[in-house]
Amino acid sequence: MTIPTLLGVTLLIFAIMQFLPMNIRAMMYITDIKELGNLPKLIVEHGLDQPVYVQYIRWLQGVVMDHTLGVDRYNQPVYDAIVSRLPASVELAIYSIPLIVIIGIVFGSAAATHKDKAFDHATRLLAIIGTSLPSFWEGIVLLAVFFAALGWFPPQRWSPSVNLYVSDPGSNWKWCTHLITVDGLLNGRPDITLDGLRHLVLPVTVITLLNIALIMRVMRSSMLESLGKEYVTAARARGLTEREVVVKHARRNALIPVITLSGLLAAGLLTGVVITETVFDLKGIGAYAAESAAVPDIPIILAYALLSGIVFVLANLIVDILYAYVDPRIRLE
Amino acid sequence: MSEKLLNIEDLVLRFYTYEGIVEALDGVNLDIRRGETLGLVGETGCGKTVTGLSTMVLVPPPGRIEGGRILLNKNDTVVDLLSKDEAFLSDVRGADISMAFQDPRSALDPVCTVRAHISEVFLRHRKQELVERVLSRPLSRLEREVYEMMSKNPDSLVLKVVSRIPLLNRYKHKLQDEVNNEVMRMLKEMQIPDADRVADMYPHELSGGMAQRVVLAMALACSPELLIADEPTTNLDVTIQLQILNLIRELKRKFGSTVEYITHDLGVIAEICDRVAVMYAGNVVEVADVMEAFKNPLHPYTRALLESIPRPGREFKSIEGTVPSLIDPPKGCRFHTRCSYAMEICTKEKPPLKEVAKGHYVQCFLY
Amino acid sequence: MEVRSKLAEYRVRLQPTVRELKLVGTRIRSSRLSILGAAIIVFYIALALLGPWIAPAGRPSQGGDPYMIPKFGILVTPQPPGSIVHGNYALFGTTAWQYDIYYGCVWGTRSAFRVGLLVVIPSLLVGLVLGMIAGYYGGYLDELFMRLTDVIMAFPSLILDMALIVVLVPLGVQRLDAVMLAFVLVGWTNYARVIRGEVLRTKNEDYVEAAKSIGCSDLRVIAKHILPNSIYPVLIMASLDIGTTVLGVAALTFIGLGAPEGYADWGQLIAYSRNFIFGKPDNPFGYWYTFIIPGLFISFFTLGWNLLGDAFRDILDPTIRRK
Repeated sequence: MTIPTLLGVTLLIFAIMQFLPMNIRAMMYITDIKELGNLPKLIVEHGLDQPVYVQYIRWLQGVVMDHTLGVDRYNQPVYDAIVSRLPASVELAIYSIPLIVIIGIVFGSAAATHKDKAFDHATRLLAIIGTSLPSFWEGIVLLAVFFAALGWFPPQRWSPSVNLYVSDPGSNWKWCTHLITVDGLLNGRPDITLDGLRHLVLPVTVITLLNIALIMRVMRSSMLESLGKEYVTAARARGLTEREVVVKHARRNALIPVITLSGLLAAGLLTGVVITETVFDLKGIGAYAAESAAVPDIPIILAYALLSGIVFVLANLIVDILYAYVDPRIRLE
Repeated sequence: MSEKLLNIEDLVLRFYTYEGIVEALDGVNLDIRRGETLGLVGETGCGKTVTGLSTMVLVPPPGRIEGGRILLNKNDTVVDLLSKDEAFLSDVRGADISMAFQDPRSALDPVCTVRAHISEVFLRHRKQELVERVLSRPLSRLEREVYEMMSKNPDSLVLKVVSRIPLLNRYKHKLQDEVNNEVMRMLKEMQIPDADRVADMYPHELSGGMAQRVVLAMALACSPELLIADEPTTNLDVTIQLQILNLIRELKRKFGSTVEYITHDLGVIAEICDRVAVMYAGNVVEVADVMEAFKNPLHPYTRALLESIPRPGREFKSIEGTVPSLIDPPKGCRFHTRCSYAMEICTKEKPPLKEVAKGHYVQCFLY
Repeated sequence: MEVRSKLAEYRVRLQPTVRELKLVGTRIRSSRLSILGAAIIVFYIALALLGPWIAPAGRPSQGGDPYMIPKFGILVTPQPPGSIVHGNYALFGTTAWQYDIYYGCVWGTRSAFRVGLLVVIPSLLVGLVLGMIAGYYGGYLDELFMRLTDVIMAFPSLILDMALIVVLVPLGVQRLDAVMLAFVLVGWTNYARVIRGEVLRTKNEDYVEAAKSIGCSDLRVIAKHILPNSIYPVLIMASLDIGTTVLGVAALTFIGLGAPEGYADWGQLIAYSRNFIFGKPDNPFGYWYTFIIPGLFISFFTLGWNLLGDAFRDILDPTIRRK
């Protein structure tokens, strides 16, 4: 099931690429500005004049074996460009995902058990507002308040002093995970970790506010459905306290669809958040894609789309496995 | 005359829905004597299931109990369950009164094993005894301390914290062993073959009959005084039906429970019950010993019901009209719209439940 | 005579629909949030319709296109609300390079509706047709459909949109049109999947079998029996989608991939404020109007549609509707 979709993903990107004029496609492989004058040679060299299916095979081979995705506007291979910017996005995702999932589940569950009361309506309204505000606007307003006015949470990944330190080859700094908050501790510099965390507060807030609504809503309706089931009444009939019934029976069953949704959400966040990264000037792959889009730097965008697609398909696979683990009814299949 | 275990007096139950107020129970009077099997019979929608649920004060919103008393004879004192708080009621449910539901597989939590289900009942109601039992076995010093604490101070904060820490809560195994013994015992009582394997199965892996046995195991785990069986065999094959009926009869004998058997199947009533109560549109219209009820039905509805049982060679008779909507029920006696003996007074007043012969009660103006 | 009886017959047939609509109506009125949502949308509709009168076009800097925001000057620094720039009154002030914020917000409403409707309606229609075909005819058409939508939906929509736009523009498509086309090309899948699901669900119901047995053509069966029941969830999606689309276009404009320079779009206005969000050294909120005002416009617009869609979702919840 996953393999055809994976292939389909690559096929779609390839198909989109084919709509570009031949010259532009050839330009994607330029490593040196001098080569601009010799496009026909490039066309033959990379087989762009061959029949479509041959091109597809060659392209796919290049992608999978050599990570050839073209060259960006700085003449850097796209693959390297993306990999070097990955950690920033991943770090953002690592902090956002647990927050979104936990708060979403807790609030969604509480909204269901207090259905139609003030709490339920309040959280619903908050969730709707959360999805109505443009993420870039939220980011801007938060920056204006918390940075320009209060100076608490700055944009970008780290302070200039930290930046100097970590990029100085003469310092003792060693990159291990490439996540500033983790490596700060690993290098014995908790102050750097704190600095990183400070810079993360605002972007994580924006991402969380944006995505919480979905989890809350799904948890709420899943919980309501669960609470209406007969095994809940049966559990009460056995004398279990309301709390036990909710926690041990209703919630566990209600969590099942939420877990799969969270998995997909996590995948989406891991591939970078284009808008938020741009607003806060975090040099992640999302921001890079955004910059590239404006130019436009076509190899980067296409490569980014390809990466996102692949990550999603894999995430779906993982989520399906997780689902089987959590729900015994699925296991037999 | 054996004592009354449960006495429902003038129970009024209403459901507040979008379409209106459903007068589900209109002053239901019912009493259950210790040791008997009482059948509660009636058409779908007459209120028998909600009566069962009300007995445990388990009616979900938008339903509200708005009148009457539910008197339970617990430890030789009579308590009105409707006047008690949730804490008291949750102790009663499962231990003094328990219920077996209509569709056994949907009454079980899909993510919990059979073992988990039955263990849960024991841990909820018999934890103290089980802890004592653990204490009577050889324990390490640390374990003994923990279990002593569980016995004397079950709600302590220390226990709550420690029980959640993965490595430290290994002490729980001893308790789980005790519980497991009980679980296996129950499964064997239910005549479930291959109990070890079944214990680790999930509800969707069980057949209907097996699931119903598990439900009964959970219901009888703490030897309740009263077992309310809500159409336990309706969703099962006829062959399995007989097995389960026999099982219930056997279990009643072994556990000494009183059984309230809710059904719409008169045949089952004849087979297994001592007394029967007939319900119609939210009222109990007739109560009598089973033999008496079948030989000499007094209420027009009961008579019509018995006559409508198809028999080979006889003309097929049904009761005219349909069950009235309970949002705007008929005034007076609710059966008067379909009753061939209806009189003027039947449309105006509701008849009281009168004892017409010994142990035979009817709610009808004919008497 | 014939006509009258036909009319009477028609009215009888419509009774249940009328009754249900009445129920929906009362439920809408009883939910405060949905009234709020509806009120907000009505306000924006009024704003869009009155646009040309309350913010007249015709200035030279617009180059004949009323959707371009007039420039009141050439300075970079934004001017506060109420100021007069080269003899032009700026009610909400001006953003960087002296674009009139008031004009931008008012005509931004028009372009928001334009974009929203031009994206959602085609997506809906394409999705409707394809989803119905896939659901009704099944077989390998359905398989093909599912594979295709699987692949399209495997991408985060914004990213796939970006990929499409980046390829469409060199082909000669206008920027904003490319954005809308890309949204439609990606967005139809959601509607199609939902419709397919509904068709599959109603396809097996008895009344469809009955209709087919009388000899109703396939199209009739779909139109009269399956469609009316399947339409509700799609309507909910559509109203939520309008808000999402406008947000998406604004976001793309913000990173430079949406509306062209000077176009009256809320996202464009906010994009112009990028360099001024930190205000002046002594006054961090010095240029608040450059992003707060357009931001509020866009937020309330989306809020209105979200409230409406959410209220619809509750009202048209099948478990309540189908009693």
